Amino acid sequence: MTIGYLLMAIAFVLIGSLIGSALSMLPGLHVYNVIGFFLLFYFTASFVLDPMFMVLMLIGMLVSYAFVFTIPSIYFSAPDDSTMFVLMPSLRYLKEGRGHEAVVLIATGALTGLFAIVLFVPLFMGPLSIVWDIVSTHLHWIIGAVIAYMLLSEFPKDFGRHKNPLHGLKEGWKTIMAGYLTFFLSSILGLITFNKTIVPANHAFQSLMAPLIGLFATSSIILNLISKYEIPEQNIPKSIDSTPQEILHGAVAGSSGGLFAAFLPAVTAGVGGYMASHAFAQKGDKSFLVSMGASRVVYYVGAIALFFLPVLHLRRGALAMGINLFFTPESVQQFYLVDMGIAIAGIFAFFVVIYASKFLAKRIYKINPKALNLIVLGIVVALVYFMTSWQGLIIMSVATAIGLIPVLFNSRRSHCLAVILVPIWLNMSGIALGGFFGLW
Amino acid sequence: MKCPSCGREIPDDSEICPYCTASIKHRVKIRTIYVIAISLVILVASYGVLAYYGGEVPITKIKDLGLTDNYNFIRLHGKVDGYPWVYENDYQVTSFRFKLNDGTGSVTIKVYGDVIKRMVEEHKIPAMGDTVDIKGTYMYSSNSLILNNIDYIEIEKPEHKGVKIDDIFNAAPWEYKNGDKVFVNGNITSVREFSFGFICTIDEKFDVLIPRAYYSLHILNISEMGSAYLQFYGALEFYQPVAPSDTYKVVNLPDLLSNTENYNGSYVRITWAKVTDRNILNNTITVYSNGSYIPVYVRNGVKYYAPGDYVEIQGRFINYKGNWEISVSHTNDFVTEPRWELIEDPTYKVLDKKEYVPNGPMKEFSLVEIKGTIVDYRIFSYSVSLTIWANNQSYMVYVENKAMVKNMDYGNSVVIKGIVTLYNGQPEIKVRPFTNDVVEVEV
Repeated sequence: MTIGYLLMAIAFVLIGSLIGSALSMLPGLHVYNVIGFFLLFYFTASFVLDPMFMVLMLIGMLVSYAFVFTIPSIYFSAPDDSTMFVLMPSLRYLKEGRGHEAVVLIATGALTGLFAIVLFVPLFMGPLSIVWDIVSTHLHWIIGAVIAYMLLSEFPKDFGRHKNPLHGLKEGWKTIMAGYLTFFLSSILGLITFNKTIVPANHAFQSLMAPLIGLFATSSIILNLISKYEIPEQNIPKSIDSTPQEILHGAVAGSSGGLFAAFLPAVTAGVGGYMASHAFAQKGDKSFLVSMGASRVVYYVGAIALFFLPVLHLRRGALAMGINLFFTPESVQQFYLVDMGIAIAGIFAFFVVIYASKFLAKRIYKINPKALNLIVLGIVVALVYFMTSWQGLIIMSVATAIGLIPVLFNSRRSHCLAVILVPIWLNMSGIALGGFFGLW
Repeated sequence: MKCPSCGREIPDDSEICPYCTASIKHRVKIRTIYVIAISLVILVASYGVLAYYGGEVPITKIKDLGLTDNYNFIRLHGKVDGYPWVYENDYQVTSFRFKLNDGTGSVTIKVYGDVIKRMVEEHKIPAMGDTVDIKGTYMYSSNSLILNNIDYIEIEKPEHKGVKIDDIFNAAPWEYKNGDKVFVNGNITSVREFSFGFICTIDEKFDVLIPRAYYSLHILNISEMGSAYLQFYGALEFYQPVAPSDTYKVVNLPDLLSNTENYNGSYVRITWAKVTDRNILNNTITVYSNGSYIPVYVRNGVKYYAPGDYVEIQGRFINYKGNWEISVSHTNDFVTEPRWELIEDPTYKVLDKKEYVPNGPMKEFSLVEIKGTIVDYRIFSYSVSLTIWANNQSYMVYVENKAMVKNMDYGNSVVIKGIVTLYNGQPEIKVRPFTNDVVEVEV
């Protein structure tokens, strides 16, 4: 390797980070949707570009997405499957004029997650491979256990005084039943999407985009449209309301959850972080926001680091799968190069998040929230139409309806994740329900 | 004062903001977080340096390979087990393969396309007994490793030890080890083709196996090898014509004969014995091993076992009419002649190049060219025996592959090119396939 090669590598990481940061500002657009197009472009231009540079550019895009998607999630209320958990606390922060502080907390968490990856993954090379060897044959029941945990961890909430005990019982169970209905309908939607989507074949690689946007983004935007709220003037603080202990607590919990999600198929950063927050007995929004930031970065970026980790080469996440189409990690040198790229993109993306948040925080209160939500909805619908054609819009509408159930009945939105969890769990367990529904 | 979080006016002595509940005292400065973010540059620099100076992929033990290694890029270190083989399509080699054993298990190494081409060009060709350090993509279902780039293989060839054919010919199994690298000098006096390669007999005594892989890739040129006195480089392998069965107990002959009652009726194997006598009438040979003799009855006949031959015996120890003997009569019983053979490396040295001498002297291992008339011929399953008249004398010609002879008839003129060997003490011209030897019959 020459100095020139190293400089070119850094340049491609920065190009990727720049593209990733710009695209991540768009609500509803997932980096994996864009990476698909970049891969198609690369397959036609592979003879001019060193595959390692392409890999580093894609990694730059992924890392910046993991950081920068916080912005549309918080300011435009358009989360994805892993930022949906931060929606409620961050909206609270936004309504208190502390939107930027929420962003800084999440970005700090993301930074700690990045440290966890670049610092600890190389150190735990051997143990991680042993853990994977043990876990890999038990994935189906572990995912089953995650599903069971998600369903069983919801219990009847106390709704205060009731007309009579029967009314109390009904109110308590209404939430749970709405949650289970969400879970059931999301599972069916997932099974259809995975087995026989109506999205045209030339867009089929984006088939998950429409249900995920419908379940998480559009349902949140519609909720914002129907509810009355004002975004007050946002304060740009010089310090954040948190202690180093709280940050560390959130970082450890989030990184553990993210690693759990990075290891297991179908389990996303949100679920991983959420389970870890239970496991680490987290209290309060501050630590939770930090842990969600960490979990998201460890989930997305950790998956790609584990792919390049010598001895392990774990293929988890769409980027690792996509890269694997044209590239096989071959040396420790490449692993170091990837770690270097992750760190560079991380620094870049961290400051992009901070400055983009400052920029938006100073202006967001001037915009009518309804107008903002309508614009975001327009962007999201246009993206879904562009990526998945009109059939995608139909799926998105169905998914939005399902996504609204937890919103309207005050149950957990995490049940919507059944759209991914159930089909993959059934697939890994060897249960062919697709045929049962006549989808083959 | 203003709340540092929400920016609203709050009383000066507040510890918590009454509006947003943010703590006023216990806070972390955003600048500190910036410093932490910038400190990542140290890690960037460290990884940059590590990437610049590189690092080696750790070696994986074959026994540790599993489903999770499927499609992974791994590094193995071991010895080439056996000889390489190839798959061909329309006479073009499509795949070159060999087994690698690291002492914990074995994996098939597969090489395709341009990598084979570069392998031959750079002469990075693995051979039996070589130590190999290899990196490639592991395929779990076929337990194989695909070599993607010829730069990812390092071959360490052990030094070859010179031996004489007479030292190896009839050497006992314990005198050498499988995979011992040796070189021998000699002439190819016979070539037999098999699916796995060519077995060439050297100086009518010792077999050298030329793997088809080396022949098909034009690494070993049998026609050039057939016209020279050569130095053959390779690895020794003890060839047992029939695989022994575990149900037969390996015994020492003196031990067997001193515990006759214990062994009576049991199935035994004697790994190494010398034939001392042969009785064709009652299908019996007498063998000698470790200072003791024993008769061996062979139901299928003993015409192939001459006194002086070394044999391996698997049979039943019985008492026949008051005499103890080994009876070779069941399906799994056998008498075979195991021997050391050389698995040729992809290299040889020409010590003396030979030419076909027209009407040359019938000196053993010399190449001659004789033009004469066919006076007699006999066709066997694979070969042809000819008697030709030339230079006022008759010549015995043995053509190893009958496909080499066309239009054979009494009185036809024929040109023979071959090597002179001795058959029952008499010189004959042997015509070997795949060499420059020919039989041209003029009609």
